[in-house]
Amino acid sequence: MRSDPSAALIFGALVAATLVITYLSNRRSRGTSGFYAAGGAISAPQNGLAIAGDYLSAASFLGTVAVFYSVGVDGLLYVVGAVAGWPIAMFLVGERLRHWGRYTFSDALAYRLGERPMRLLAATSTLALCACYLIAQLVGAGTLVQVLFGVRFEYGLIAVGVLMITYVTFGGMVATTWIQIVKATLLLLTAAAMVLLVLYRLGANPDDVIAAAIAAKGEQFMKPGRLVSDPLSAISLGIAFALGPAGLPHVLMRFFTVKDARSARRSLGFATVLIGLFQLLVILLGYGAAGLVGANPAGGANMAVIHLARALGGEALAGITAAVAFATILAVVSGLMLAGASAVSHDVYKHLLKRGATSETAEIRVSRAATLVLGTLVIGLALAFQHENIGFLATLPLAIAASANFPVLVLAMHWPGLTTRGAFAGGVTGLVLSVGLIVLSKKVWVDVLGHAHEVFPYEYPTMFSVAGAFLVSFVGSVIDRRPRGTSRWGKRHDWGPLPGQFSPSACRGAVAESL
Amino acid sequence: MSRRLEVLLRRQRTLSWVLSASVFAVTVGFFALMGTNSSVMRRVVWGRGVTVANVAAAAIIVLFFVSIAVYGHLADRIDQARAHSENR
Repeated sequence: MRSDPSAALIFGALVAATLVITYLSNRRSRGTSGFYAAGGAISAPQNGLAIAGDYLSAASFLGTVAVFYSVGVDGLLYVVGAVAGWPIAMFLVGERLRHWGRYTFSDALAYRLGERPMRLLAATSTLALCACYLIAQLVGAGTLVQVLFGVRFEYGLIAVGVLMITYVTFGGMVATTWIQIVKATLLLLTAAAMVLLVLYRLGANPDDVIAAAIAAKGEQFMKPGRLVSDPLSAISLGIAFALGPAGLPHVLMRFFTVKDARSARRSLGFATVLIGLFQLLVILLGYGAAGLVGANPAGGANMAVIHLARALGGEALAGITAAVAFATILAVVSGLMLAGASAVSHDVYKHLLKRGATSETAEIRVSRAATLVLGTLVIGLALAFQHENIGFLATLPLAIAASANFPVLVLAMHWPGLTTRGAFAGGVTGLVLSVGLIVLSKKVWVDVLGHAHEVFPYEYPTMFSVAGAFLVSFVGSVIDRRPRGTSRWGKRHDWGPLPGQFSPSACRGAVAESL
Repeated sequence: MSRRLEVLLRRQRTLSWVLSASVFAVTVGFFALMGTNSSVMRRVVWGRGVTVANVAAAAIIVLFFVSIAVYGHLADRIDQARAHSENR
């Protein structure tokens, strides 16, 4: 199936706009502060839009509608899950992370605990997580280009890969943030317009939309339990959604692009509302797709939203929607690539290999090289996973973030008894259990690797991996007999700066000193 | 640190854990009920197809909005109290 020339035109215009943003950002992206954190000059509403942009990925737009289209009411799991993590990130992590960190969340862990083990742990989990997330986005991008332009999946992948490497290499955080803002705005407007058209076509009452979906798909459509068939997998998925966002490195990096902790908190408030409103729109888009898109759409269920746009507004709307979905993917992969590259350059190269003794120029050069290597690697992996559901692929990084990063971050911020050994052991346990159990589950062990039976009987590992990480962190800290003089907990447990003690500037000075 | 700021900070600490636990419980509870194909979730409550699951999903999202509004309100009061304390 090929789209008409309007789609190609819209695609071209969008890509050109993002490249212009990258070019303009390149001038403002001086030094490591500009490259990693946009110099802390992003306002709270802008950052809220950018956080929403980071999170509203191909999985949210293409994947969630695909889940509604394929298995019906179970799509609500993705809708509720997508919002659940943000209040928790705001209540438990946001402000304190902004106080303690500088560019990445590992700065905050390194400030509170032993620097080298924490940076090693954070860099490893960041790379594993970004690789998983990038695979999901690239599979979506490749399929999208394949469906719209009739080109091979591999060519779509390479095109997206080249663009994301360009954005990150030349634009850094400034370009990534502005691309996110543009994309999030376009995504929200497109979704709202499509919902209005769905209501116009099927009836202004949401019940009419659901009734149309039932008429097309049958009564089974409204019975839950088809996406995750066993309760333990469902609970594990819920845990991943609830705790994962507070451990996503590319989102945590955004807390440092604003000037202070108050702005970080307000950013999270804006992001939660925007993500929630978008998910409410997705419910109607999902039921609309089930009611209006016929069986076996070209490109599979992942393309249901594009076919819905075509059914609602012809080739022009399909072209716009595909271009927005494409922009969504480009923006998200840029943010992820930046997080992955900064883990290599800032944590591994600067602090682990060079022990802080390196220039900003060298650090940024390593970050650019890491972008190239990481980009090539994930393109190869995306080829292997091209037939998996994007929604499923995008939940895996949430599982890793909830298991490897969240327990260590929360304990570091709220429990004075946490020691470096305990945190390291807990983080490694969460990372190994989450990645290991995902590989041993049916979706990878049987569907991708071709074995006859899965080793791990559940689809998602989070219930076990999160519990394991918390338990090992706790026990490891309790039995750790080493002196705790290096811990920088102090006597304060509150959230914000106080006069003369732990103020952001003082904290920043201390962090800068430790760096 | 003023007495008022101390009280507010203590209240914020408690509220953050209470709200986090509530958000977590509501989310996991919703996932558990959906995962077990609970008959409650399938019950039609409005028109021909709006089930408890649909209403619950929308209500949970609104609840999340309320929780961040409550937390944000308290955090703003702390910011004001802190600014007042620093000015003095």
